[in-house]
Amino acid sequence: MKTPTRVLIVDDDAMHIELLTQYLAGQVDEVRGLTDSREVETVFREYQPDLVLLDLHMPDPDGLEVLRRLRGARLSLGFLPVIMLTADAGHVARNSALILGADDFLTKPFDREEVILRVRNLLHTRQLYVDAKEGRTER
Amino acid sequence: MARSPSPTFAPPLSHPALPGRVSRPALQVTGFGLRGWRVFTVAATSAALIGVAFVAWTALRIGGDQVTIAVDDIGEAVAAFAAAVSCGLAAYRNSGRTRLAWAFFATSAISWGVGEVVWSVYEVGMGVSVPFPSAADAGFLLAIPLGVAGVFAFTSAPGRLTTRGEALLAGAIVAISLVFVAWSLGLRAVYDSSSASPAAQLIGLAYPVGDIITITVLVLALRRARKHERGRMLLLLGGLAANAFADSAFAYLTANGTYDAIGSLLDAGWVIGYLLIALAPIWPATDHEATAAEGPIELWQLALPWVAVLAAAVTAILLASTDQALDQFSTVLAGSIGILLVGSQVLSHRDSRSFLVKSQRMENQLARRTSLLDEIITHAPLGIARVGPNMKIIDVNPRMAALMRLGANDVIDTPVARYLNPDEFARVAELFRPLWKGEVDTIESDSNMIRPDNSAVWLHWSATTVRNAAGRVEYFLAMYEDTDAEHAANEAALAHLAGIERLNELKSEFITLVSHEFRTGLVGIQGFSEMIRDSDLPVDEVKSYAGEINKDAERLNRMINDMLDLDRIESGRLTLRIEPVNVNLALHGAVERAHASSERHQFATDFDSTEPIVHCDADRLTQIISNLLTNAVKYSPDGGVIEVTSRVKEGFVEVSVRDHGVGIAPEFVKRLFSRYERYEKTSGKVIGTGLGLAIARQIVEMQGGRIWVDTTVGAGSDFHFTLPMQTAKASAV
Repeated sequence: MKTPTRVLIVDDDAMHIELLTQYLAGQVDEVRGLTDSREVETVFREYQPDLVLLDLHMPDPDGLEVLRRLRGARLSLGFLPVIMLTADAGHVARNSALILGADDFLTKPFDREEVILRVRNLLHTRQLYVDAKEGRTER
Repeated sequence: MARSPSPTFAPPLSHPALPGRVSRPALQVTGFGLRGWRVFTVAATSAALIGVAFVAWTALRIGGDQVTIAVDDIGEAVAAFAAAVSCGLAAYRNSGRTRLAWAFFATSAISWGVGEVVWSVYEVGMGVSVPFPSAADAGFLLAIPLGVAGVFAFTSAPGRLTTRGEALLAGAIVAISLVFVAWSLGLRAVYDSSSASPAAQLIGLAYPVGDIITITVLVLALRRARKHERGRMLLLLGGLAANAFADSAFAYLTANGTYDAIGSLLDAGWVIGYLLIALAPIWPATDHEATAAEGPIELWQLALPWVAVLAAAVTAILLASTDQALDQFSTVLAGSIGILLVGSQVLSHRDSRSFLVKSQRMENQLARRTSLLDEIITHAPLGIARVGPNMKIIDVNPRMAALMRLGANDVIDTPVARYLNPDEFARVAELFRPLWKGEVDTIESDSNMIRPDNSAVWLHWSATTVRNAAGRVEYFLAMYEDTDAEHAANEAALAHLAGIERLNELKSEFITLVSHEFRTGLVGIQGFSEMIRDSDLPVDEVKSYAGEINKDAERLNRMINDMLDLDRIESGRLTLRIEPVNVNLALHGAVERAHASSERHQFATDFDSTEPIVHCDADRLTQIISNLLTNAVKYSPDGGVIEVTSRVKEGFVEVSVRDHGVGIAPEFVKRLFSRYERYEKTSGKVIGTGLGLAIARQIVEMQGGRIWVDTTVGAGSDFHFTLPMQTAKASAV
């Protein structure tokens, strides 16, 4: 049985959350937006998303710091993909994010098609992981 | 016998002539090459004892006449052979002319010794009195020219014609004077009264003539002896002199036919003579380097020929005082002496004249050179200084004094360390080390000289060593070139380059930031317009999306305006419309607008009650205030109170906007108001172009105020700016 898919979007710009929510409508079961990055740990624990879209440039803590903070929780949840949102094409920031465990990137301004495809792919991988894990427990 | 192996001891045959000095080639006489006095002292003592014993024996006639004669004859032969062995060894140990000289001496001694053996065969072996002349006389007479040849062999060839002529003249003067003395004092009488055959008379005369030649040679040789070889020479010459004395006595007595009993005592002359010759090679050697620079010939050496002349003169006076007339031969001799003296005098005058001319010429040359050098040093474009071994300045040329901005006399005896900082002085002292040691001739480097007036100048310098004759450092000659301009140009170029590089970096950063901002600004425009285009949406949703699009468009417009503003300000093209403005009113309007855009924040205002008026551009003032308020809102995301105040302070109005937000990191504060400098890779959300504060600063400063921030991370920021107030009269408006 397929569990409902939940996506958490963290971006200090509410308009960007709004836009992404519109894009993902019909693609995922639930979307939750968060503009204050300081609350991300609490929300993450309580909401238990299957995928996180995380803006890189935010007032403290910024995207990289959030990645750092979520690291422990993500490891305990098994495979939990994070897509970074950035207008920054600089590879330094990209690599820093990858080192900290980011799985993919979406570049601002967004391409609707790309957003949907990347989110779908990663959610699919996530689903496979969860299924495999449950299959083992059933046996 | 020798303490050191001999091959190393091969003395040079001639020493380099000393320039500019009339000197004779000195006599090189070297014996065994022994060092120290021990061996010589022992040998000399033994010789002295033997000599005394011999004299005592022959005087006392111990053991009767026959034994005494045997001791006398055999002793003489033994002494001669001892001398032969000693000189032979010396010949073996030396080379070249010195070897030849010692070989002559050895042969001379052997010849004499053989003569004495023949004599002994007659006198001791056969017990008969020796006939005159006999084979013995051949050995005795041959010994004289061999000895003379030995003395000559020691001398190296005279280098100058004048000297050689002078030497010949001096020799002739001495020889003729001696002949004069000998002839006047008895030789004539012996010759006249002799009853011997003409051949025997001739052989008898050969002895005194040989002696005169020997003594002449002795005198000449003594004039040339080097100081450290003089002892050896005196031994040799003393030996020859003793032999000559004994020869003369023998000849005189033989010619008289009275050589008999007392002859034995005179024989001691030969024994002592050959013992002295035997000692000569044992005289210790001295270091050649220590005596290399020997002075010119000494006065007593020069005067030696005159002693012979003096003796002749005294003899002539003696003859006159005893009423004896000079015979023809003596008169010829005296005349010859006079002529030779004149010749010698002329030669010596010529010598000294040429010497004088030469030294005058050199003096002139030196004076010319010195004055030229002085000119060069005085007018050189280089600073020149002489620095003593104690690293104190001895003197400087005018250019150097000018470089130091001191009088030339004020510099004298000041330490070099005074003009360099301690590290630099240590470095320079280290550079001088190889110069001290003589490992290098010249060193050069660059130093920053600190003048007494505390200004500094870059100098490129070089230094070289000037040493005295003993090889010690007398002073360093240093030359200095002012390279300040060069250095300044280099530094300016480097600074300029660094500036350009920094600017380039900033430009890249700015482009990155601008592109980032524009992309972010485009998110809404692109996304929402796409949705409106692709989906059938209800009208109010479309309107809402159009609102978002419009917000983003405005944001982009603001960014472009900011950039243009700053560019205008920085290129000086921004014009301000200056007018009296009520600060409180401007603040009030801005706060109202900010309040309308953010419900989460409360605004607390505390305005100065005097309603201060400033003279400024009203729109720009509003722009600054709005910018500060926007920042305050952005950086206090939790909401809270934002305090806005105005205060009159010392002719200025001070406006402050205080929030209780995240604050600003200290390392970031100082760059807050600079263009392009706003963004850190990990910094928080970017607002606008980040140029707001840079613009604010430029505008505030253009109007005579200033802007700053007090901030603590986690506690919020407190921005302040001031503007100069209108005069009291205007403010009342």
